[in-house]
Amino acid sequence: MFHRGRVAQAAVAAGLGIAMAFGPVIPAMADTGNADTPVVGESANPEYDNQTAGESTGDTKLYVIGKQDDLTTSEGSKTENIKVSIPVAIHYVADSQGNLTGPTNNTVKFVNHTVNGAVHVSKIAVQDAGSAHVVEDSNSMTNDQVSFFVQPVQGQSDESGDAFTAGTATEGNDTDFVKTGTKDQLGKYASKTHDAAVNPTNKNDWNIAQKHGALALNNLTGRIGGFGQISPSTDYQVGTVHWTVRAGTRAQADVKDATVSIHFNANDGTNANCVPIADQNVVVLQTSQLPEKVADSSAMNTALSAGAADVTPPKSYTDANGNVVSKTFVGWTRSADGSGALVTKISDLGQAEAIAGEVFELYAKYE
Amino acid sequence: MAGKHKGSKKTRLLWVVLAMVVVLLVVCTSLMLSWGDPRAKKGYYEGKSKEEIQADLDEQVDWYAMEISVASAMEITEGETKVEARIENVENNHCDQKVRMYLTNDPSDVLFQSGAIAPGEYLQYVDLSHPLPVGNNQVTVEFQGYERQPTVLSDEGAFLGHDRFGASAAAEVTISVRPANVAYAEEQA
Repeated sequence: MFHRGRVAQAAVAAGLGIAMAFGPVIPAMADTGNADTPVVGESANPEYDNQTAGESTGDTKLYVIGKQDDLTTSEGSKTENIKVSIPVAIHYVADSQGNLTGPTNNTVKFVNHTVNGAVHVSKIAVQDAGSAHVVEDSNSMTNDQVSFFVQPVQGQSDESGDAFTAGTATEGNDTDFVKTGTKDQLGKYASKTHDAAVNPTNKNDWNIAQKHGALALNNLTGRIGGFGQISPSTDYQVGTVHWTVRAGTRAQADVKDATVSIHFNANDGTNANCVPIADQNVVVLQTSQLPEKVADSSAMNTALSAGAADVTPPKSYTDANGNVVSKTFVGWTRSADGSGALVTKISDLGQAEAIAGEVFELYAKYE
Repeated sequence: MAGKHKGSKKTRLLWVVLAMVVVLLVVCTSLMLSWGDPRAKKGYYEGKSKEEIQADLDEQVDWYAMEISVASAMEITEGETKVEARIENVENNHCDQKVRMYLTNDPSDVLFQSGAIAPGEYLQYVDLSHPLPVGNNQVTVEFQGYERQPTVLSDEGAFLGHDRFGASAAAEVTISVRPANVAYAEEQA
């Protein structure tokens, strides 16, 4: 049982994100591999393990491995990997009033190890653990309810990921770089599985700059109700946070779902020009290679030739597999020269995103 | 008569094998259990100050940072399922990783599920469970870390399984599927 009179002993660890109490699972931090298990990246031949024999300082093993694509093919990588270090467990200490204190500022952080390009935290999901329920902080928190605060701070890390400098932009970094984000509550993202994660509330606070950019999770505090029920001797998991990252900054990701205007030639109802709207040079739509581009262009032609300023947009389009997809387009406009244009968003066309310069196909059907 | 003898011999052999397996399991379990000192307790020793505990927590942060690495964009041709994913468990990680890929808009549609990948190992290609439609498909690649050493009963309920290493982390990537006819046309060109 917990003894309220002894503050030091009252401190308990409330684990966030860790699956089980630890102890035997925390070996020496310098041990990064299992010597008994050969892994790719280690030399398979001990003869090539050059050991520097020191008198009293221990040994250093040097490993060499052939680069796979050099050995097998001349084809290089088309795109680089997204490579990010993510905190998967955060531990808190609870005082006798149930106030939680996490690690010190600039300690818990994401570090971007991607060779080129920024990344961002695109989604957050928080799940309850044990009997605890992660909620937003309030005065009426009951037993087993726990709240957590977090403040994202963007900065720069060193190559090893150990250091953190808040607000140091890097060369060629994203334009919406900010130093300190808005304090947020993890309770906002509660009751979500990883599958159903949602965007952070302040989306642009969660960018991670390129070249060892880092995002620190600061002001890690919280409160827990029914503190006396927690054993002071073991970790007590109270929740799980799932983080999802994505290449590019948040703004870049949003642009990928930009509004596009698809222009059509008035003469035959096909797609003579498919271009993005001004200042959003993110996509080139192309349908010329596709069979039966327009299943029925008569309605469009009739409407345009009649000179109607506003006509009913198509109700569907046919996707690349030939499936008819119902879709009410945002708008359909007509220019003085008789050409028409559909206004919609990339995602509304069944595409997840469009990358600058990318060519992809739209199959249109007009009813 | 001879058939009966054969049958009873087989049965006896089965029992012997079964007994050996049970004995082996008991020995393995007892060896694992006897490794730990039964007097040792989890948590913080009495008298450890709040500041000391806080310092301990800071040290744990580095240990529980898991690096994920996967191709940020992948490309295949219509009808194909073999995709270059370049899933990598980097050498510096302290955990094995299992990777699950699913359609972001339909998480029940699991495209790939890996076995354990040790630090320093990678999967250059993965085979998707089914072909994807032409266009850009948004896919979530979820990494779950696992302790490298097995336990008697893991937190997932597996005998001699591995406890999870913190929470899972994921990356959203795009798998672009090019129409087969376009690829053919490009080839001809």
